[in-house]
Order: sequence, then structure tokens, then C-alpha cells
Amino acid sequence: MSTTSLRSLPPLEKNERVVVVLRRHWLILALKLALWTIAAVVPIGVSILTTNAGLHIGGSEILKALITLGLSTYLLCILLFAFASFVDYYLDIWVVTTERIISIEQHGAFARTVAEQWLYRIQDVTAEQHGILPTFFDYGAVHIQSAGEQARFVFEQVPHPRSVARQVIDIAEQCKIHHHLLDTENSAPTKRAEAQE
Amino acid sequence: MISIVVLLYLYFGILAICLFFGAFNIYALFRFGASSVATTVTLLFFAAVAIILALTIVNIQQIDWTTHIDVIPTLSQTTL
Repeated sequence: MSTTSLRSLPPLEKNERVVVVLRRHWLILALKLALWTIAAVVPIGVSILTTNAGLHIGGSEILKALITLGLSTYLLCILLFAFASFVDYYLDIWVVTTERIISIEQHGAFARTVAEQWLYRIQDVTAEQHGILPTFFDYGAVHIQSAGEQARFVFEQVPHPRSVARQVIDIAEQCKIHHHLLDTENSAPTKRAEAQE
Repeated sequence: MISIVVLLYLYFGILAICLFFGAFNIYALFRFGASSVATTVTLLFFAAVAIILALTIVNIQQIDWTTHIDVIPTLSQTTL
């Protein structure tokens, strides 16, 4: 369960255990924090450059106060946005248990969505990677289509999407076998090999 | 003319809003994902806020307020 407290999860059933806990790829947070850092450094850099160039911006005392308080407010806001980005990243979790998939998504400061899907209802799992960064850093989306009219689950920007998709398929298959929804004869070759062993 | 008092009112207003959102984010972080990582990041956040506020206070103290002391009663009357 790594360093995360999973106490915010819906209660697990008897014999149900957590198999996979996923977050977005670390690069997503790193890129956001890099942008906030640049935004914080720009006014400080401008003020240093203008001072070095001999320009006297803070001529009057009122202007000095305005610049000081304005810069302070700006930096506090940047810091707050950076912290909110971390919270948003940290609280977006996708959990695969032996029985279901749980998607917990934090939308901004005041909105949170928790959705569940039973593994035996899963019909199709697709891994998707688009772009240069996802290809180089091996992250992408995993789409999980279930039976019925429910919207499909999406694990967004998770690391190693193909292996995650494979893992979800394997767990779903085991779950279906457990619930007698799938004959062991029809299961994947790997599962048959395991059963024969 | 922008007065120091109005500036301070604005500053503390924005500071209060930032504190509210910061407090809510910390609440959400510990309510739904308390861990050593969350604690470390929150402490870093507090440290950064303390540094920014300390630098602001130091810079504000360096300003020569005596040259603008006449502004304050005028604005107080305006406010009243």
C-alpha cells in the first residue's frame, strides 16, 4: 500500500484485498511544479535584473510598499497553487482489488468523486499512449469498458499502462472464475498453464 | 492616490483567502491521504509561507513610513 493511507476507500468486503494502487505518473506533478517555479522566479528575476541595470523602480515609499505587498501576494498565491497541484495529484488514486476497481478523483479544492466497478462486469481493457512524453516516460491512459450503459473507467496518466491493463485483465479473469462466470477452459493461456501446474 | 492603509487591507484580505484555501487543502490532504509524504509536503508549505511572510515584514519595516504618516488620518476620515 506504499506510503498512502487507504482509509478513504469504501469498505472492503470479506476476503477482498487491495492488489494495485495507482497514481498519475510523477512527471505530471513535476511539470506542474516546474511551471509554478518558473512563475515564481520570473518577477524575482525581473527585479534583480532591473536593479543590476540601474533602473530605480521603487522610487517612492508607496511604490516600494506596493511592490513588496504585491510580490508577497503573488508568491503566496503561486505557493498555494503549487500546493493545490500536489494535493490534486496525491488524492487522485485508482485502486484495483480482487473484486472491484475503485476510482478516487479530486477535482480542485471542493469536489471529489469516488466511483466503483465490479471486476466481473469488465468487458474490455485498453491501454493508450499518445505523445512524445508518454512514449518516452512510459505513461498513459487505461480505459476499462464494463457491461451495461455505465461510462467507462479511465486511469489517467498512469505509469506502465500496458502492464496495468494486462494486470487488470488477469485479475478480472480470476474474479470471473471465482464467481463461476468464466469457465477455466476458456480463460487465458497463462491461466490455463497455471491451472495445469 | 493609493494609500498604504488600503494596500494593507487588500493584502490581508488576499492573505485571508489564501489561508482559507490552504487550510482546506491541508484538511483534504490529511482527511483522505494522511501519510509521511503528506506531512513532509505540508511542513515544507508552512516553511515557505513563513519565509515569504518574514521577508515581507522585513521589507515593509525598511520603508520610511514617517514621510507618509499624513496619509493615514486622511484615509481614516475617508473610510469613516
